[in-house]
Amino acid sequence: MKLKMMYSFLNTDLQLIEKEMEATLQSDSHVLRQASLHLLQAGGKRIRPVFVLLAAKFGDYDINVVKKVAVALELIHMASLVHDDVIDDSDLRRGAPTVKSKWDNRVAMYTGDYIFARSLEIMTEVKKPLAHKILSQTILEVAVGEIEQINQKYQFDQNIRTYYRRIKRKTAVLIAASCQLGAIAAGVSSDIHIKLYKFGYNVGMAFQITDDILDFTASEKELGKPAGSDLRQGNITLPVLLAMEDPAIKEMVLEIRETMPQEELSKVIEAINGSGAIERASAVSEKYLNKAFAELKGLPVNRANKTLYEIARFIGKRKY
Amino acid sequence: MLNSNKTLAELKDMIEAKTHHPYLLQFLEKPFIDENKLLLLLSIFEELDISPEERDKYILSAMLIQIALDTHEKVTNKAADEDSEGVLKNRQLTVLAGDYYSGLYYKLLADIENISLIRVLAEAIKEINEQKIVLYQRTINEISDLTDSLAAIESSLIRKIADSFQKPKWKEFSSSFLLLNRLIEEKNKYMESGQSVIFDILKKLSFPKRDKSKELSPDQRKYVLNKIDHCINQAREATFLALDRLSPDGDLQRKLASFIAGNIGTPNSLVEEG
Repeated sequence: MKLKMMYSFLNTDLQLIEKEMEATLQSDSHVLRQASLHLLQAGGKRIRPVFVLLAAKFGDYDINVVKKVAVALELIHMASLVHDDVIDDSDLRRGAPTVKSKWDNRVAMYTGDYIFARSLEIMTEVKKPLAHKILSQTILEVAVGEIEQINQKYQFDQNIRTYYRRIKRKTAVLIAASCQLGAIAAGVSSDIHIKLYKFGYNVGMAFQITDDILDFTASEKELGKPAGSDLRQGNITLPVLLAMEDPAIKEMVLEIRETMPQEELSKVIEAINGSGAIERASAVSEKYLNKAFAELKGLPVNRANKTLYEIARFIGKRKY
Repeated sequence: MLNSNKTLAELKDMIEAKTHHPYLLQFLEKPFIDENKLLLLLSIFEELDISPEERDKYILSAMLIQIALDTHEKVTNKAADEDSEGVLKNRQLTVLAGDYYSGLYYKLLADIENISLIRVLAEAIKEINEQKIVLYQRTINEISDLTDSLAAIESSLIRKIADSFQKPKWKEFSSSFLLLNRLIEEKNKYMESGQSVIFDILKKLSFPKRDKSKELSPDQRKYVLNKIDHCINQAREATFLALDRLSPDGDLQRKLASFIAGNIGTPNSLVEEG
């Protein structure tokens, strides 16, 4: 089943969120409006709003309240993408030119800051202090995670715990917060929103590990970038760390540079693929998925629970 | 006078401690703390019946936003292939540092559960970025639009705070005082480096039909500089008028008056002053 089919019963509410995001980005400034809407119209899976809505189904679901959280979280994600494209010097995102390439870095910085401000404005319509404590902590962790990622590039002696902490901050906390904040907006009890947080955290970890595996196993066509791009950029991921337990592979990995010819990089990728590290990393991802499923077992059985299960299975096992 | 100096110095220390990030500091300069804005914020919050702890957190959160915005202002357009590895890393960390400081502001106010101030400051960030784009894209047709835009960029944060805490007299003063400072800074920048966004816009407004490939003649250059001086004089007059409306007996107000009279355009000399 396709991902979007799994949550098709949310389509009316998702369309409302889409309209709300568009309305939120109607700046008086022509350039800001164009740049913000340009990214919005490029689309995306809207997985964070989906998690928000599904988590809210465990409480008193009022779309007029819940949509604020969904819009805020997706806009925060969008703002970070605009800035990420400046960081990565990327010209394309979702097949469309990035804000920084269509305009320039300065416009991208103003656009990202503008979208961030709008997201907080929307979020302040949710008058629940706990929601703001969680979201602000999440935003800070994501920023710290990105700084750490730069710091840890080409640090081949980092351990697996460092990797887990980095992907937690980079990916898992925002998915976890989406689940928890949706539930809090719907007024659920703390035992339920904490379980939903843990579910989101474990799904996020599985998602990122799968992403890191795909850097080695998926084709250039599937990835939209050459295989091994993360490794070339010095991002030391779980498959690499596991493969480096073999001294011969470690020696090869230590030679990785951004300017390394693709032919040489392909040999390293081949060695990692043949080392058993991919299978071991997949097993770790599976372990996180199982932890996520265990959290769902402690939650009321309903359609949202079933959908969360299906989405988790899909994104943990996706092939590209 | 001594007390306000001490508080300013303490606030600066607090901001430095909050923004301290060892890894960022390996590659980036320490964040610039705008003491004019710090002094204005302190002046507003000193008039309120709130605890020093609460006052410090409000000031700190506003200054974190200012620092975040100023940090992002340093991101350049230089193409990647022109960049050395160090320059590229510096740019990456500059983007992330600004995001990190913004996150700190939100967390600080969320922790003390002041949702309404989170909103007020977010509105200011929105307004500032809308005006920054106007300035950056040079989409300005009147000198008054230029000064309005500059005033908004420089003072929206403080004006929104003054509004929110019902201290309207500080709005007018902050707007003209910070505009005056910015104009003087821009003029100085132009005199030193020949580069200033204000000069560019005034040049465009003054000589709309000129051949852009040619340099300005000395007379034309003088004409544009006179325009800047005219804007500066107007802002100075407005600042003194607004200052008169502030309570004249406060330490901070006296300090502001002497600062305006003697040191305009020389920011960051306040803490060291007696």
